[in-house]
Amino acid sequence: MKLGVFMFATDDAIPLDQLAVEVEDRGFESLWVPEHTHIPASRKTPFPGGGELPREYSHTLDPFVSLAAAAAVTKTLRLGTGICLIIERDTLTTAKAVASLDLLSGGRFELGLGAGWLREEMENHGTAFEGRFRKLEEQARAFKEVWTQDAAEFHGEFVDFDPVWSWPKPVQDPHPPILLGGESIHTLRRVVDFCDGWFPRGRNAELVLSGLRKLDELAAEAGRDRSTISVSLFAAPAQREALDGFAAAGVDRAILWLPPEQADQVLPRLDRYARLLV
Amino acid sequence: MDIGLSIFATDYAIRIDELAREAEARGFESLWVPEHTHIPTSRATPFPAGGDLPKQYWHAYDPFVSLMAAAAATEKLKVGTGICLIIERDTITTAKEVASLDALSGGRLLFGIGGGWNREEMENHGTDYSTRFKRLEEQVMAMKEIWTEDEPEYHGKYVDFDPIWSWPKPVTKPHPPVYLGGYTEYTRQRVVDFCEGWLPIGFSQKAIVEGLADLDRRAEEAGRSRDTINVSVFGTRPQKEVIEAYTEAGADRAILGLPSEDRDAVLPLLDKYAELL
Repeated sequence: MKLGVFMFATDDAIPLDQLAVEVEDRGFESLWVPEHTHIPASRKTPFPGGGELPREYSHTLDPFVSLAAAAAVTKTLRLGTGICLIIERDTLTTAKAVASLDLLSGGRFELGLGAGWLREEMENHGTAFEGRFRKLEEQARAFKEVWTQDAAEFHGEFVDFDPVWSWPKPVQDPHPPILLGGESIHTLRRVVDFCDGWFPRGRNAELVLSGLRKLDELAAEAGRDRSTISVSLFAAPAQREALDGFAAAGVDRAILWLPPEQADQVLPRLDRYARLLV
Repeated sequence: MDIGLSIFATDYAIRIDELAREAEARGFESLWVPEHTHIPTSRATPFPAGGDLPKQYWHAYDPFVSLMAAAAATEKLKVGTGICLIIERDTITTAKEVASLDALSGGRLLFGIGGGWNREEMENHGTDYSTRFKRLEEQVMAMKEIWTEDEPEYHGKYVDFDPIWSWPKPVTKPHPPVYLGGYTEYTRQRVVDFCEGWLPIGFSQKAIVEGLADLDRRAEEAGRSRDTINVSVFGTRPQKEVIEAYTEAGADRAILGLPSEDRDAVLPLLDKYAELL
């Protein structure tokens, strides 16, 4: 099983480029960053994690800029969004940012995406909470058109454009993997329908294990080869036995949490995690 | 006079990080990239410069990703958008991209913006051609709030949000300079009203020199010190006399255009331009 790490790239944490070098040096496979474009100060929607929203949510750097910085100082490390809130982003612009980052990193980018939970945040981008998953699906399908077609067009309810030219195309063939976050049955259906991977959170092992079995069933029903779907466990437990269990159940990649702190806090933890690589 | 370079960063040109290193090694001050998010294949709007639209317009990288690659490969070189089509972009997201790039480059970002000319391109982003400059002004004002306030809010016709939290704030204080592209009197008035610089294209030396005099007048009328307005002439002809004439007329920076070609074509040109430093 591959082992990656993730951190909120913030203005008071170890800079992401510096972290990327340390992560690659220790032999980890990937580095992931989440996204929040901003946080509405009203804080009406409760934090799903419970309690106050942690500070890093409102201090997050743009994921494409920060991963471009990480790409510039590494050679083999895979770089991913975990997750990118595409429903808050313009489709054509995001498709181009992805392709640019994939090209400049030599084909090392993975696009983890999700529909988000913070209603007021998405409303500030003109996105309705209720329609967010339908918008996400159209955006993902439109991305694939833009990435793979010479003259791409898409006509949907939320995304609608006549033929466009847009290069660069991504280096990865046919495009960077699209990994969908979430744990519901609907998420699993969407993964089988239009994604390249499942990106569940690891806080409830039973939910992940039952999801894996369900994913097998849904793939079989849809006639899709299950081996074309990767499974990356976000915020996986940093314990060898638990990781071995997930690997045996079919998880391809575990991604371990790093606190958004300075190097003196982050690097010792990275060293501890590195023992799991042996 | 600062001397910078511009290039369409594309998939067939010299890599932007390599170009950045070569530019810095030769002593150039800045490197600029333009933006087109895509080009609608209808090509209904004619190319303002005449003729067919060059291929580089639909091969241009995302500017924030490519300038981050350029910044990561250099130490002092300033990196600029020339120009970023903010009217095709989400305001809150773009403010964060600017702040992130400024932070990770150690405060080296120059933020050139423009209202664009390709009607179908902006329509694909939901932007109306006839009101694009009103939108642009609101976006700039809103971004300045986001960059400088702990709980920014903005209530306009095109940009409207209640108080938000958004860090990082830019390293450059109060924020990276906003330079406005264009060459009309309206552009210059907007520069005086809400920007830190004017970024005209140097099609005509006469128009630039006259524009500079007009800018001086407008700044004076508005009671704004002309020293607070940078003038960077995009597409300056790489000739000593032209650069001297712009310096004389009060410009601060000449930006020399490079073709979007591979290193074998670009680097000799860079050597030639370096003689102007």
